[in-house]
Amino acid sequence: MTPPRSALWLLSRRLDRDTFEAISGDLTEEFDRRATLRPVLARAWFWRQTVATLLAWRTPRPTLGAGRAPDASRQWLGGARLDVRIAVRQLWRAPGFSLTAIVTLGIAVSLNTAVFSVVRPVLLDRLPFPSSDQLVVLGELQNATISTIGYATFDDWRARMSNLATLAALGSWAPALATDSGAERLNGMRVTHEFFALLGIPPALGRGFAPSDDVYERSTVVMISDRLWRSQFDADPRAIGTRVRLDGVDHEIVGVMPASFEPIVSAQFYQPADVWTPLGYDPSRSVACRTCRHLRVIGRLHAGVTLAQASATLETVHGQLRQANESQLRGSRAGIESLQDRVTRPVRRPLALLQGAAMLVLVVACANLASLMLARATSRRNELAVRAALGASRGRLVRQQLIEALVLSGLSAACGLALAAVWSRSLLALAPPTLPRMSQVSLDWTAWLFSVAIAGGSAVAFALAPALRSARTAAGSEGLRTTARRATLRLRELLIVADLSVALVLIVSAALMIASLRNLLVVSPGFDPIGVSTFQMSLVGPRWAADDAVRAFHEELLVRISSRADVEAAALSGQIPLGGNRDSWGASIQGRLEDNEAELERYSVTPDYFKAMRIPLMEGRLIEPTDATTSEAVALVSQEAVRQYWAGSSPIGSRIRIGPRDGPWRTVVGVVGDVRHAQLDAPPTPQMYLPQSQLTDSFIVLSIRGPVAFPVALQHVRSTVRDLAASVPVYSSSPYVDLVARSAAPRRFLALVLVGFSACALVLTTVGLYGVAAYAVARRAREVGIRIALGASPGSVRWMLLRRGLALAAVGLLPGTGAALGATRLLESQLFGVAPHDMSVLLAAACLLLVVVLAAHVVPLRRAARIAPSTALRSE
Amino acid sequence: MTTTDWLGEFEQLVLFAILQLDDPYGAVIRQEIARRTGRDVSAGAVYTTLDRLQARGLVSSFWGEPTPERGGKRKRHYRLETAGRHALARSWEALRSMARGAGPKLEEQ
Repeated sequence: MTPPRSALWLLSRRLDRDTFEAISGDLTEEFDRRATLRPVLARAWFWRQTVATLLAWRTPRPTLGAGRAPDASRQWLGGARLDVRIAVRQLWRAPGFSLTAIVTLGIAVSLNTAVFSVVRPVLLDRLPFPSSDQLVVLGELQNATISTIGYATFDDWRARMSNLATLAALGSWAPALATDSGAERLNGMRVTHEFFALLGIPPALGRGFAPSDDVYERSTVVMISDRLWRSQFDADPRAIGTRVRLDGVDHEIVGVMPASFEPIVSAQFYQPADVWTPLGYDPSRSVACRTCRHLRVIGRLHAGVTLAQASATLETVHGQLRQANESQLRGSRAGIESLQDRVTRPVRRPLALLQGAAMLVLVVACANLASLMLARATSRRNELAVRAALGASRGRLVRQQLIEALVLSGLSAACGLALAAVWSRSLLALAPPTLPRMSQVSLDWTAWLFSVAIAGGSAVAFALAPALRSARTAAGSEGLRTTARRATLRLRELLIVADLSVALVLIVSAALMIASLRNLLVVSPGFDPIGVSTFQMSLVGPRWAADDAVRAFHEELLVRISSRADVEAAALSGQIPLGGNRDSWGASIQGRLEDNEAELERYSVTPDYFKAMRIPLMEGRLIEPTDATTSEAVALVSQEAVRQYWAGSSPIGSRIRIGPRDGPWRTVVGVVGDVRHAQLDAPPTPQMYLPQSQLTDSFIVLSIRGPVAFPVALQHVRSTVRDLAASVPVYSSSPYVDLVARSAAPRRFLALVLVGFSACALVLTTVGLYGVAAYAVARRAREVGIRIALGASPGSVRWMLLRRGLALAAVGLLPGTGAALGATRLLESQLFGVAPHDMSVLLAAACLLLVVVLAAHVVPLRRAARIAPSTALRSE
Repeated sequence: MTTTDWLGEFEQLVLFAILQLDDPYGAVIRQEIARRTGRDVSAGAVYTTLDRLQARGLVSSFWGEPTPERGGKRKRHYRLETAGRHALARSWEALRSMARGAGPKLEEQ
């Protein structure tokens, strides 16, 4: 075993030849002896000896000449080491100051870091695909947003844009997977064969889709996710080539996607997917029609093609298509945007707001820090003056304080990171399902860097400025003292004013969000979700090809479910409000809108639906059990539909038609109340209800009203469905109130986080106020003492001191109000039922701050009133 | 007598080691100090001190033969000179006379 060569090399560089020979010989000899016992320790020992020797050896190696001056840098480094030691000692000696400073900055850093950890994967990171900037989303525009298109249009785009980009289409697919215990419903997608190659992610196992898979009737192959592979196939590589039964049809597994494949691209974006199958459309199939707009289109631009070029070509291509297919594409326009923009746009504003709010907390913390440092610099004036007198240069004094600030920021960053881990977890727990890429949230090195950077930046900027100022006046005479202290107090008061105005901005924002949340939760959705449980199921596959089979299942299911005494009403419908599904149809109204211009949300329901949901009847009658498959086709419409399409007059007896032109006319027999379908905050859209017997759905929602507890109901539904048809999966089971809560989740998230942030800002402001109040009392101790000696009552003394604090508050609220009015405008899109400049909210926030000002003064004022005249006169 | 004739504490330790060892050289001096005082000092510290002592004429040194266990490096042997012996004796005497009667008081603390 030989000693570490690099250590020997280091020694040889530093020592003269003779000394090197003697020392390295000695060390080698002893190393040999040690190495026979404990080799690892021996190496460590050798290194320790080397470093210690290098440090001890002060004679520069003569052969390197006099040009090198290691002493200067060594001295500097040695000095810096000393400064760090001094800094740590100084901070240790003033635990109150250090702890306040570290925690203040630490809290602000932690909030910023935690928010950053959430913001980074969504807003800053590129999407996890190779050359992800070439990925785009295309579609026909609907309300200026890129939407879905029909296959025929996709086929034309794909062919005519092939010189610019590769395109792929995808549609949603939710097959039922037969399992031992019944059936499980999977989230999946139908994709054209280009999909995976276009994204640039190859399968981890097996193969991707080939053009030959993407053909009608031959598309019975699937690729599965890593998750499904592990849960259903025990991660067995032999799963490739095996068959799974999906929707009653055998599918061959050809590939497994890697675990890192994120479900970013799906029909709705960010819907998890576990199984993919080729779309298998050709233009001759009826589902492939130009107006069957249910396919999402993504593309990868060829290298060197810009979005603008692609956009121009798409416009031309679509214009030609529109001319050739006037009837189907009338008024249609096409749009294209980058995939990155498409997936992040909906959350950009809320996340930017959060980061902004966190930054405001940092501003408060920095103001406090500066204020603390000012006070400290004033109290250290003597020390600095002595050091300056003893010959410390100004640079040296500044460096000392700079290092102190850096030590402080290091400790704050550490404190901040520890706290950030807690916040980050809480943010994740609170995050609404609409926030994308949450699986990628982590406190990685970028978060470390971020927190160290803001802690360091803040500490240096806000701790050093006062230090510089004090160093400048360090040598100042005693007579300057009072003036300097007054100037310090002025500055600190200014900082408090900043604190107060920023805190006001945060509090007003939080209050507005809470008001919005409250307004949202008291909005009547048009039905009564309390006491209702919902369950979704799908009847897909050869067994359910005929509507009769489906209807028979519906009837039998309802009979069995209702058999329990604690079920008051049970009903089936094709969709439910706030259930996350959309089924809106173009409709014609006889004599009014004959060309499918009306658009209505369609609910096919069984008769008890209105009883289960408690949707009120306004006019006419409800759907009755007598509305059978063969009887007259009927429909109900909602009040909003009446307002929009019948101009408020009674629709009873008029006839509407949905879907194809050769479809039946349905007679309107009743009007019911509106429901809020997509979102609680969106006004009701026109709606219609048809008997499930006359338009039968394979995807159905079962709603149960009654005192039955949700877990019991779930058990009941599961066993009933299993008995009736084991291949039918029950999924998305949930108490209805949870669905309503989910609709409010994004606002609740923002509200809770803002409340947390403003609480932090409030605490920091209180601490800052307390510091200034205490300082002011100490500064005026002599004056107070004299006043008390001359017979002033404690009350009048208190008032004299409090007046100043209140004046500060008043001054702080003025710019604060202005800033709050400006800032809340940014919040406007997130508000509901409350204006960004709501005066009562502003007033309440101002009152809260006033309370805080008073609270911060309690202790200093009590202390002031107790100042004995004699001590006061002795002080200073 | 000038102040430079006085020995520093570490110089004394090194000189004591040279005085008592059969064949004093860097490694054994270091080990002897570590064994007796528990102070684990670096080779570099020992050699800077030896250099200083040699420059003051208190010790002298000569080169031995290279050996394989030293990686082919020569050994540098040291010898205590008369001046060194006197300096050490004087320092020790000074220490002893100052320390006389101090024992019980030190233990009190």
